[in-house]
Amino acid sequence: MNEIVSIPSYQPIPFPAPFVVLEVLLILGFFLHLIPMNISLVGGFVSAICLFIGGENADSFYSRIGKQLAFSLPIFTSFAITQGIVPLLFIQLLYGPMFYTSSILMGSYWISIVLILVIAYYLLYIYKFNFKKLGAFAPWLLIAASFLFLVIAYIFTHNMTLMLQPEKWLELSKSTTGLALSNAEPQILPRLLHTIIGSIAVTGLTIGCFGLYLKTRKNAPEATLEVNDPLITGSDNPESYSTWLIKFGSTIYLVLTFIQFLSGVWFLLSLPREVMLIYMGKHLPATISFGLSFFTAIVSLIMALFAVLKGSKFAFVMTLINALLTILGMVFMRHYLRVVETIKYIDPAKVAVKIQWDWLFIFAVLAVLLIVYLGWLVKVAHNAFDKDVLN
Amino acid sequence: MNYPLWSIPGLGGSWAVGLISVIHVFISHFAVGGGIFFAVTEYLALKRSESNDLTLRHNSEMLYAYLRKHSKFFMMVTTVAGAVTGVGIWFSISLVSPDGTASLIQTYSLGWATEYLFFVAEIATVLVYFYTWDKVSKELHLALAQWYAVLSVFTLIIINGILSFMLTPGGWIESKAWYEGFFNPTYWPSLILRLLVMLAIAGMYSLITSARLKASESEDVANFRAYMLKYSSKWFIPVFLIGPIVGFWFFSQVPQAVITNIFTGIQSSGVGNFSILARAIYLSLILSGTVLVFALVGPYLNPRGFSFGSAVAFLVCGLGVTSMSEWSREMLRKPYVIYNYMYSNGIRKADLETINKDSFAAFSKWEDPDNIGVSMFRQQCMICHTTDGYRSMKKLLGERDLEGIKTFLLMMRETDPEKNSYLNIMPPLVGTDKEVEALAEYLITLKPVKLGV
Ligand code: HEC
Ligand code: HEM
Repeated sequence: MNEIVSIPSYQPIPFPAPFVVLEVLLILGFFLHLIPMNISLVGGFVSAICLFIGGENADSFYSRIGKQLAFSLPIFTSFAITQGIVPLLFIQLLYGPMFYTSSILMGSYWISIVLILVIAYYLLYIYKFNFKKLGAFAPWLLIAASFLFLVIAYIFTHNMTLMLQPEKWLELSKSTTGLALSNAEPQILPRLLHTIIGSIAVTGLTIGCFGLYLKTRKNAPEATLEVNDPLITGSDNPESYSTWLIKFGSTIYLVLTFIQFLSGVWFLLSLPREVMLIYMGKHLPATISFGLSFFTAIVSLIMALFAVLKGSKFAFVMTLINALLTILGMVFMRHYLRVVETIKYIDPAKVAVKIQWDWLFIFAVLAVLLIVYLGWLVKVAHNAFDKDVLN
Repeated sequence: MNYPLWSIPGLGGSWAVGLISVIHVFISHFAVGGGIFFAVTEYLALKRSESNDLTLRHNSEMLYAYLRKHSKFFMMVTTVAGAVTGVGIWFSISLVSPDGTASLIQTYSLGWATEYLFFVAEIATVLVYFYTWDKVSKELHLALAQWYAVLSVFTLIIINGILSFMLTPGGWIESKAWYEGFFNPTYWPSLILRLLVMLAIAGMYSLITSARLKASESEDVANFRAYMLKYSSKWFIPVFLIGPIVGFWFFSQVPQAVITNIFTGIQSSGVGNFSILARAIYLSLILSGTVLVFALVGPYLNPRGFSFGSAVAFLVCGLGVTSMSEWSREMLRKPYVIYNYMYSNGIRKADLETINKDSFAAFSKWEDPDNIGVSMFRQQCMICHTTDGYRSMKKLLGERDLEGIKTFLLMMRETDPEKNSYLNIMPPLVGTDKEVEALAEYLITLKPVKLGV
C-alpha cells in the first residue's frame, strides 16, 4: 500500500577515508556517547529518589549519594553532548540519505532538541549551585531535567527508527511543518524502554564506581570507616560508605539488568521476523555480537551478585568490565540492525573513496595526543581533589 | 532537491539557522576571546603577586577575585550554551540545507573529526580550570588557562576553513582537493578578522562586568573598577587598528560578482534586497566604528564616568554588529550554499543542463505527479520564500497575472546574467516547459482571487 519514494542520493564527492574506518568511528563514537548519556538521562530520577529516601537526614548514605550523583550530572551531560558529535558526524556521512530525510520529516521536533537540551542542562546547574536555597523543592528540579532528557531520548529513538522506514516517508512528506510523528510504530516504545532500563543499570554502575573511587583514595579514610547507625546506613549492619556504594550500585545494576533481559526479548520480538533472524545465525557479525554480549551479560550478573552480597572490589570491577563489554556488543548489534535494514536502499560501502591521507594522519596523531592530554588533566583534577573527595 | 522540505508556516526554515547561528557566533567568539582574556589576565595577576610593590600585589588579589568570580559564568556559558548551540547549528543546517551539509561533510568529515578533538580538550580544560581554583598551584592554574586559550584558538583555525570554504571554495571547485577549499582565498583574512572580533567581545564582556562593580562601596573598589574599565577597553585596540586593513583584504578576496552584487546590483535588478545588504554592511561598519571610538573615549579616557548603562549599550551594539555581519556573510553567498557549486535549494550548478533536458521530476526525489506545481515551489523556491509570510510569494508576485508570472518564470530559467538580472539573488529555475507551466499555474492560485480577475 505504501509507495516507497526513491531514496536521496549521496553527494558526488568521495568519502575521505575507507568505509571500515568510518564505520568503526561511528560505532565507537556512539559507545562513548551512550555511557555518559545514560547517566544524564536517568541520573536525575535516580538521585532524586535517593534524596527522597534520605529525607531530612543529610548524613544518610542515600542523601549523600543523591547529592553527589546530582552534582556530577552536568559533567556527564557535557560528556554526552561532546561525545554525541562523533556519531552525529559519521551517521550523516554514512547514512545521510536516510538520516537527513527522517530528520527533516520530523524537523520541528528535531530542532526543538536544542532548546530542550539547554533548559535541562541549566536545570542541573541551577540545582548544583542553589540546592541549599531550594530546600525540599530541589529534587524536583532533577526530576524535571530527567524528564526533559527523556523527551530528547524519545525524539532520538523516533528518528533512528523513522530513518529505517522509507515506506513511511512519502505520507509524512506531504506536510512541510515537520510536526508529524509516526507514534504507532511498534518498535519505538520497546526500544526506548530498553534504553531507559539500560540507563538505570549504567547509573547503578556509576554509583558503584563512586564507591570504588573512594576506596582507592588514601586521603579519604572516612569513606572506608564502618558506621553502625541504621539512620545513616539504612541497615542494621555496620557499613562503610564506600562498600555501601558498591553494594547499592550493584543491586541497581543486578535488578535492572535482569529486567533488561525481559525487555530485550520484547524488543527483539517487536522486530520484523527476518530482521530478528540476523542475530540467530543469518548474519555472522550480528550473531557473534549477540552471542558475546549475551555471555558477558550473564557473567556480569553473576559478578554483580557477589558484589551485592560482599561489596567486594574485585567482583565489582569484573561486573563493570563485563557490563561495558555487553554494552559495546549491544552497540554493534544495533549497528547491524541498521546495516541490514538500510542495505536494501543505500550502501555506504559502495560510495567512492579518496583517502585524505594527510588529514587522516593529522587526525590520528592528534587523537593520541588528546588521550595523553586528557590523562594529564585527569591527574591534575585527581590531585586537586585529593583532600575533599567526600563533598 | 534530494530531500523533502522543512518549513515553519509563515517563517520558513532558514530563520532557525540564522537565529541559532547568531547566538552561537556570539558565544563561541566569546569562548575563544574569553579564553585569551583569562590567560592574559591571570598571567598579569600571577606576575603581580610576585612583585615587591604592595599596590601591585593588591591589584593581583583583586584580579584573582575577579577572574574567579567570572570563571563560573564563563564555564557555564561555553560548556552549555556554546556547545549546545554549536550542535544546534548542525541540526538546523541539516534540516534546511541537507544537500549542502552533506557536501560539506563528505568533503570535511576528517576536518570536523579533528575539530571535535580540540573541542573535547577545550571543554575538559575549562571544567578542570573552573573546579580547581585554589586547589592547585597558581602556576598550574595559569597553565590550564593558557591551554584553554590555545585549544580554543585551534577550534577556530579548523572551523574557519570550513566556514570560509562556503563563500570562496577557490580551487576546490576544479580540483576537489580538500586543502584548496580549506586554505581558500578568504581563509586568512577571515581567521584574523574573527580573532580580532573575539578579543573585542572579551573586552565587551569585561566592560560589562567591571562596570557593575560598585564604586560607591569603597575607594578600593572604585580604583579597581576604573583600572578594569581601562584595561577592558584595551581589548578593542587590535580590531580598531588592524580590523579595517584585514576587512579590506577580506573583500579583495571575495569574488568580483559578489562585490558588484552589493553595490550595482541595487540598480540593475531593482530588487530592494541588495540595497538592504549594502545598508547592512555600511551600518555594521558604522556601528563597529562607533563602538570602537566610544570604547576609547569612554572607558579608556574616562573610566570613572563610565556607567553600567553605557556598557550594556555597548553590548547591544556588539550583538547588532555580530548579527548583521553574520547575516551579510550569508547574504553575500546567495544564491549559493557553496559558492559557484551548489545553490541554496540544493541544486548543483553542474546539473542545471541535465535537469532542463530530462525533467526536474527525474531529479527530484519528491515530485508529486499530481501536484507538480506545488512540488516545484517547495523544492526550488521555499528554501527562501514562504507562501504568505516571510518573503511572501503572494506579495512578491505583485500585480502579475498568469501571463506575467509565466514571463517572469521564463526569465528565471535563463542562466545568462544579461538576460536574468535575478541570478545574483535567486538560483535559475530548472525543469521542463510542462513543469514550469505547472509552477505558474500554482503560483497564480496563491494570489487573492479578486486581484486575479
Ligand atoms: C536563494 C533564495 C531564493 C530562491 C531559492 C528563490 N528566490 Fe525568489 N527572491 C529571493 C530574494 C532574496 C528576492 C528579493 C526579495 C525582496 O525584494 O524582498 C526574491 C524575489 C522574488 C520575486 C519578486 C521579484 C520582483 O522583483 O518582483 C519573485 C516573483 C520570486 N522571487 C519568485 C521565486 C520563485 C518562483 C522561485 C522558485 C523557482 C524563487 N523565487 C526562488 C530569493 C530567492
Ligand atoms: C544529553 C541529551 C541526549 C540524550 C538524552 C540522548 C539520547 C539518545 C538516545 C536514547 C539515543 C539512541 C536512540 C535509539 O537508537 O533508539 C541516541 C542516539 C544518538 N545521539 Fe544522543 N542524546 C542526547 C544528546 C545528543 C547530542 C547533543 C548529540 C549530538 C551532538 C547526540 C547524538 C546522537 C547520535 C548521532 C545518535 C545516533 C547514533 C547512532 O545511531 O549510531 N545526542 N541519543
